[in-house]
Amino acid sequence: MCISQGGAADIHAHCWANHILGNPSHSPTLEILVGNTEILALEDTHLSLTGAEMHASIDDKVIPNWSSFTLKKGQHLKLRYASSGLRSYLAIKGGFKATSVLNSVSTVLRNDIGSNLQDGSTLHNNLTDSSIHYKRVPSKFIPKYNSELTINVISGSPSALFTQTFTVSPNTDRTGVRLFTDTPLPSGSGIISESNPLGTIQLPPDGNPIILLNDRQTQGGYQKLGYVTKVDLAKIAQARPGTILRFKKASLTEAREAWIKFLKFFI
Amino acid sequence: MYSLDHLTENSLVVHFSSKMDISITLRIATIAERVRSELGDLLEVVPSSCSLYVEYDILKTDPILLESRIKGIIATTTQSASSYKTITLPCYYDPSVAPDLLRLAEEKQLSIDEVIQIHSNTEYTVCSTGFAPGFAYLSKVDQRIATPRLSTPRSRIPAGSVGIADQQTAVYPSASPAGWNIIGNCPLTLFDINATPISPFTIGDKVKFTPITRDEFIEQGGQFE
Repeated sequence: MCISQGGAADIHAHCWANHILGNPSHSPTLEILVGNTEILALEDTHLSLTGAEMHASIDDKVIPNWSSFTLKKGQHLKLRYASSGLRSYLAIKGGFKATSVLNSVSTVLRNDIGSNLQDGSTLHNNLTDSSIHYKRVPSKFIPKYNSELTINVISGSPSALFTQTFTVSPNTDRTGVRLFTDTPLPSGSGIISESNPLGTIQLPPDGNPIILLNDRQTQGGYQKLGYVTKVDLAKIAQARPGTILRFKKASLTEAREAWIKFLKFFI
Repeated sequence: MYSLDHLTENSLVVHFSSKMDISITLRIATIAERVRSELGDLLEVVPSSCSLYVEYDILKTDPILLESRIKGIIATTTQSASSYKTITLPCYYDPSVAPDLLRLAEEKQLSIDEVIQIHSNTEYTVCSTGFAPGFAYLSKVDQRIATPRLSTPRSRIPAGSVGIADQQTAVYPSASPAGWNIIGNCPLTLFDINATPISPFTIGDKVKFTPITRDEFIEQGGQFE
């Protein structure tokens, strides 16, 4: 299809946010970039929050990240600016109600699909049983959003990608994470445009790679150096500008096993 | 000959050619149709001008079995035999909407009028769709105006921008990051999520560009940004 994939950039945090509320993993969540967000409950509401550390508080009382909680009618949930990571995921018991386009509720601004929430937007959940068991994600599944990361890449060819360090550029969004490096990589010529899977590391002629994320264009003609493993894409989605990246070759078999394990846990 | 490579945990690509060849493109489109209808239950089957991309659900599909089934379909697909439509696209070729027109003309030692004439006198074939909704890769651009992509893509160009990348040309249906050389703007809507089909282009269709004046551009809904 010619429409961008969309969906949560950090699928690890998205799935855990749903999981601790007992929601199916595909239930819609809110992806909150950088923070500075305030939410008022119009009814008693069961929520969970995962991902970037945004020092959430309810009526000025701090609540833990990677946990489920209840926001009572009239209470304010306040998120400050993220101090680590980039994106928070707010899930609601039953999932947020959203209009489905082509069997998806994802917002993809580049395709004018879905809705970008504005100040004053009202959200509803799909009705469900209202019981809740407060849960926290086990600490071994809570990632640290370090300022230096090693990222696994599936790649068939030898490349300077694996011997240099790269820095995440501020010019980064849901289309792709642009990187820069002191010694730009030698780039070959463009290729005839073809499909780009999620996580493609493409190399424009300027020698600075771009990791393609969920709102990427579906085809591209720049040279490809490899593909970030699905599991490690969650780290890329949280990498702030200035983060130092190193790449390591992953075996396709091991990457598949890790991805199957992840899917089986959440599906 | 072709090569089949597994790219990620759940995707593979089949490369049929490293050069644009419309008969190969049409064969790939036919293979893609058969893969979709005969193998079912795949996440994405995307034909491009020289390759076929397939994405699958790793919990339901064995990659090795899928590979052998795709190879079976390739071995038994010879040629396509559909009929294709002709689409005419108005295009306003002017530096006010085309940041690369002047540079491209200078690099090629042509006048702007010559660039326009060469671009609009060629009949193109839709060799692939994708990149963005309503985006169609059109071949073949005349060698005299074929130009490689920009070395650093622009973060955003307006909807309707008409670009050249090597021997392909295309219209960007919506505002988008872009690495192509922009030589004009087409005021038509080429993607409507509520329309059926959502985009006019099918692989194999013929496309021609007709130069329009500034007034015609504005009249047909063209925008300046």
